[in-house]
Amino acid sequence: MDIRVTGLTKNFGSTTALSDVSLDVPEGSLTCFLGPSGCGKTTLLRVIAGLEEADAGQILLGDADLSRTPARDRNFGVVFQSYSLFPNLTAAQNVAYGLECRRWSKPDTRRRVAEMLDLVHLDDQRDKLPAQMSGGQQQRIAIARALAPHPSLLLLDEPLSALDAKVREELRQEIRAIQQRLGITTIMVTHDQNEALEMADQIVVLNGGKVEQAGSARALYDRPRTRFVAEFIGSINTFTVQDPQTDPHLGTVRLRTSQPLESSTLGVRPEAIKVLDDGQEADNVFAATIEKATFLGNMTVLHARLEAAPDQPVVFEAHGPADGLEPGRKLRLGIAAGDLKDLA
Amino acid sequence: MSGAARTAARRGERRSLPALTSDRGIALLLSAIMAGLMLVFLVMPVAAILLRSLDTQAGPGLGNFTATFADPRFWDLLVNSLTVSLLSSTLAVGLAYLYAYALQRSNVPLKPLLRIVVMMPLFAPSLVQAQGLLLLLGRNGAFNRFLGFDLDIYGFWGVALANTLYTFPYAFLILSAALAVADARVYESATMLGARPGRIFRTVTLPATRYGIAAAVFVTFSLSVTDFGNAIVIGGNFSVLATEIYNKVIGQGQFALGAVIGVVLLAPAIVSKLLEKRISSRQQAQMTDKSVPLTTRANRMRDLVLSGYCYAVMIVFLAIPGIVATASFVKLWPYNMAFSLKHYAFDVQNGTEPLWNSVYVALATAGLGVTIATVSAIVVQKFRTPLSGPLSFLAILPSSIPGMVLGLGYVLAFNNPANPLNMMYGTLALIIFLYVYYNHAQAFLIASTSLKQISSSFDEASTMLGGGVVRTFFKVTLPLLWPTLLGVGVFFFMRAMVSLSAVIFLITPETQVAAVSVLQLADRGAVNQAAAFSMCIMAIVIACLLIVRLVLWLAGAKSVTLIR
Repeated sequence: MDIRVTGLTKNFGSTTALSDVSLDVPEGSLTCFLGPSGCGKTTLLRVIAGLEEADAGQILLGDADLSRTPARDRNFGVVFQSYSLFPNLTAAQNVAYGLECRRWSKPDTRRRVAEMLDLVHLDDQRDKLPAQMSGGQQQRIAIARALAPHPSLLLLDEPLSALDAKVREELRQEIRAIQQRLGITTIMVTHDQNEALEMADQIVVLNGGKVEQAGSARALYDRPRTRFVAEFIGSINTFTVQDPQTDPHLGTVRLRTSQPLESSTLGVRPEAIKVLDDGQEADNVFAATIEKATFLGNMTVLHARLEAAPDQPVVFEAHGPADGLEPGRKLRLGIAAGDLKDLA
Repeated sequence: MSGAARTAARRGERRSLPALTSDRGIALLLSAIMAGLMLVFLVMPVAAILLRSLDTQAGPGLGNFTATFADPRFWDLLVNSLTVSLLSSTLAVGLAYLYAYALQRSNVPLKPLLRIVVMMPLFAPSLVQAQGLLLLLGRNGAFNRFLGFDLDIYGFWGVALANTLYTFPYAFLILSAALAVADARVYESATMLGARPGRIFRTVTLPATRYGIAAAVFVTFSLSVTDFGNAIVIGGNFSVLATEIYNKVIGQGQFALGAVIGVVLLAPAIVSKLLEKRISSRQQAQMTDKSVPLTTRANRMRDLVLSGYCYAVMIVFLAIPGIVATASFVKLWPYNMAFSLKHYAFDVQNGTEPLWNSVYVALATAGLGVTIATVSAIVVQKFRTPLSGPLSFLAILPSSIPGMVLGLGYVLAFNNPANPLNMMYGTLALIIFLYVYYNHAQAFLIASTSLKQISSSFDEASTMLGGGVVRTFFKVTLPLLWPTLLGVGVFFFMRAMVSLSAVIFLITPETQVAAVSVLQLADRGAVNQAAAFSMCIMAIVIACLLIVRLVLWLAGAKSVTLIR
């Protein structure tokens, strides 16, 4: 079932953790809450889970209002950041816990536990205690435990952040595969943009307790509405434009844009800046001087100074070793009108 | 979702049968019970003392206070109490610091033995120190009788010495913990900068342990000021405030004047508690995750000197129970030193009944105490009810109330026909509640600390899986907590076996406990039987420690502290 959140507000004392947050999580999708630490993403997850109570706002699961339902009756599965497996119970007992709370029969429980351990490929670890398992294995058991009672929603609170890089990579794919196979509506909190880009159907970018922008990874990357979103997902050059609404120009160069500009902040992704050969033209052309070239193997990151606006440095990329692009070299840079992003 | 998954989901959503008791209901109920018990067994007795001290024949007023303060004898007693406590506190902390330093920072041999021997005073009623000192240095003591000395231990020096021995283990435990942690990098820096050992001790070791020293001074001082057993046995004509309450109440039935001195005794205890709290809150963590633990280097000379000191102290601490044991096994100390077991027949007074009373009371105190301290800790730590705040204050209140004062409060509150619980007066049940609440603060703090160490994500995980508070407690919290709780039980058991001053006013012939028997036997000159009684108490406490240690060892929980 889909989840709809409207007007959620939550204060801790005098600090506002969430202010008027509204969003939709479509049925069967994986939605990531993405943002820097302190942006309210974990609070939002905990309010949806029922572990925190909101000061105002509504949480709807399908048509049912959950705002007053206690956490234990919401039937949501949660996987926490730190391994929250019960240390005194074996892997199988941990998975069975939620079923016992729901008074499943013994044979049903046994069958479901086996099924779940099989799902996360840990049937051979069933009698191990959490301390005898690796971090990755513990987190997989935690996922099995959360999914066992057929939750209507799966909540993942930075489930991978305590793991090392290689395990994290594996689990990303595994979580996504399980989620898609079961078709379970899922919300995952993360501060890692790559994780969000790789796994999510929908990304909700949060900043200062507010929803900055929500959409698919592609939409957020191609059409960021704010400077915060543009900088948080991928990297971007930002320029200050003069007279954006009437006669937009950057330094001494008049700008050609695909749509009229609203704000004076303009963003350009590094890969949208092309080095022009002699005689080649583009919508916007800038004369520039290379200041620094950093070789990174598959590409070279170049810092340059625009003659039109020497106080606004620009960064772009060249694939491969970029022979001849040494500091001091003068060249022409082209940017297509559609690649100039109007940022609020 | 597929059709099958949908059916399954519906089964998963099947809420458990409508809960008879919701989590909120349980939380409120338990909070109310805990608050009610604290009101009856803690607040009411303290209030009774305060009210009684203001109760004069001419109606409520400060008459009792002005009368007491106008009496020059009161000021003599106050000076006696303060000087003797100051001296024994200074001695105990100084000696214990060096002892703890030797055990933590040098290579003296047989450390486990050295550590356990100085704990002996905790296993016996406080007056055993006085008992042992008298058998060693008293008129009929070994030194005077057998070695030709002519010592007079009764009075100021006797009380000071007895209280030094009695409070030494408390100081040692605190200082040992303070000296246990040290960052080797600081010591290495000091050495590389050219500091000699004396300067390093002054500039590094001492400042790092100053909070421990302050805490030890406060604890030993308030123990001494409020101790009653040693002063009454070895004090002779030297009286202190604690013995004065006993005389006023038991001897003369002057409850109001006893209550006045009780209020006066509350003052130093509360002041030192507040200071201790203030100081410990300023103590910041000295160890960070980057710290390098200090390892002890070889130093033959230092180890030799400290070994000599430690073994001398150990001999003193062995001599006290040793001489008491000897006295319990001879026909008639010091005249007939032939071996005899007749003092263990306990053909006096109520025979062995006080001993079994004590064991029963101590076991019941352990069971009830662990339950009450744990539930209070859960109510304060885990439940957010309107009562959590007041409860957390009340839970640690007893730590500043001297046992004797609380005991007097129980008499005043429960020996009152107007009190509906008056029927509890004169029963062992009331003594059990007194022991539980007298020791509540420390037990509550231990339980709270352990609860805090159990990550709150376990509670949340259980909640999200549909578990209620009761299931979470029995399936998750209790299995993780039981070794600590067993340790808390041992703590209650030990204190209930040995506490004297708290129960002294509540004793009737039917509810006699062992520690009071020792006092009464010693008081009427039955030296050998008193010694035998003390030995039995110590044996029971040590047996309990060994049994629990074995249980913990078998269960694989080896790091639980039992002696506190």
